[in-house]
Amino acid sequence: MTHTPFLFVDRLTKTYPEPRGKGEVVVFRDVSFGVEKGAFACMIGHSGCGKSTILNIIAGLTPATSGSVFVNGERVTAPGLSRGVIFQNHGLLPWKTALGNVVFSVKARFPDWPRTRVLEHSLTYLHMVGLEGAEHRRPSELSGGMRQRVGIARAFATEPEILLMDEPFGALDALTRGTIQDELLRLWSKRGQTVFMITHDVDEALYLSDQVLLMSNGPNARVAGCVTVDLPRPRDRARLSKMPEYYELRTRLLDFLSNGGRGESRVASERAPSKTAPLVEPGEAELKPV
Amino acid sequence: MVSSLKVKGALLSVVLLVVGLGVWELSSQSGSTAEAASAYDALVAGAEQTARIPPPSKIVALAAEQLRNPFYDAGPNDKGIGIQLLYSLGRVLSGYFAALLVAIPVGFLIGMSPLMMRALDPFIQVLKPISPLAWMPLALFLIEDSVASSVFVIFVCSLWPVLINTAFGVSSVSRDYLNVARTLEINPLKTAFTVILPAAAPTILTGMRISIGIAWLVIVAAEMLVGGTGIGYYVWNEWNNLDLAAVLFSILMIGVVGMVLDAILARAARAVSYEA
Repeated sequence: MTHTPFLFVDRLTKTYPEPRGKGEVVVFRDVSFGVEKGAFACMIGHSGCGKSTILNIIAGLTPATSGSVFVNGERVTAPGLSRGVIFQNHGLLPWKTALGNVVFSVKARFPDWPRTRVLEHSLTYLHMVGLEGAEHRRPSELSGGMRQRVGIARAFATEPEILLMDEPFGALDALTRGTIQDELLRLWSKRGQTVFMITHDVDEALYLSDQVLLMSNGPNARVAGCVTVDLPRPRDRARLSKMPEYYELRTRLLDFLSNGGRGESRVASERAPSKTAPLVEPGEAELKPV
Repeated sequence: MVSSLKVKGALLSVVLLVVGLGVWELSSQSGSTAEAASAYDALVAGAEQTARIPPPSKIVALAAEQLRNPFYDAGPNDKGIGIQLLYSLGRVLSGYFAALLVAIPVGFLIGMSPLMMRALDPFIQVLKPISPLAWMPLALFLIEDSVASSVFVIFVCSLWPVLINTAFGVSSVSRDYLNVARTLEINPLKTAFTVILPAAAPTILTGMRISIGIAWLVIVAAEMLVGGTGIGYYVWNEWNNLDLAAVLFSILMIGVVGMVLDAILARAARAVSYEA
């Protein structure tokens, strides 16, 4: 018997009927990959390649056209508490306070717990993401970063087997993003949960993950490659920026993205050194070392 | 700055009130002291005076007298304003709450199911614009009781705004909130109460606020039709008595009660509102 990874996505295909006409649009076809238990995996790709759809299928929120998803050996057919989701636009219930939102999830996860235990557990997680003093504020009274922190606290507090994050930091400014990334890494290293995260930020993917899945452009997208990020942990932004391995990986990912998700096999075979001039956007090029 | 605006607004309100009442008072006095040259003229002027709009001072005097003992009951045609208002309020509230009991669950159903939305929409579109008083003859025929019929009319007129707003509120609950409930494996009934209801509550409350306003408008007309008791009957009865001061006083009281009802629902709406 062969080893199946903790999260196993098997030949996933999603098609939509064409708006007018009889044909169908293939968003992605035969997407397969695996994520080991306790690993932090990121998926990057341009918008429109179906990344979010893949995440929603893993979450059980969207049905796949064909193919299947297994979490811990069990086939995913519906949403469930084994998979915690951190939504792109935080997905907090706006009529509840920060604490109320976490309590709501914790109660659903542990229905037998007494009230005091639910409260204590929820507060612990809220404090872990640095929200002391904001417990009784509603989402509309919190900043974007704080809202996403509540979302993270809520997801971790339900102690799922795997966390699914859909571009959780997309709407945040760079400074806030950095801080919350650090908090996320701290929580993750403490809890050892498996994480599957979608992003389009190469630096974020490299800073956080063990494994980066590259999606080619849609329609007809596929997983064009899987890059192992073997940078030592705990990672430190300042130290990473001095590592040649980091730049090698970064260039590889940027090359892939700027080639419209077509060139990974070529880049991989060449092991593109950082000195070659890859096709990168002007904004990105300025960040590169010479 | 805001508080000064508040003070200025209040001051201006008082000024407008005093000026308005003053002009009214003076104009009705000058009219009543019109030249009475002959005995005949005096008689005509005297007759005219009773049919003239009474001055505010007379209404205030009547109000003071009425409000000193608002709940007296001296027979079918002589009851205090308080009793009449309570009769009307009783009918409005029973018809209104009966309407809520029907409209909120049915609205929920329609809002949850696009099929029901499509199926029931034509009926609602036809029934909604019917003046609630048009139901009165049918109600009297079917129920054979004038009080119950006026309650039924209130029920009908309160139904539509709540029904339509509930359906709209429920159908436009953000997918995100529903997805949160789904990932937490919360069952559909619990989702309805803990996610959909609070999410739709502000819209439902808006419908409830519109309904109570309409119900209070309609009860006056309904009671003029069915008679017996209630503020609508009272207004009509005082008109028949040609007691315009009492008519004006009851008009004022109708306004005050309507304002209080609206304020209560506005407060309730504020309690369930949220910023998305």
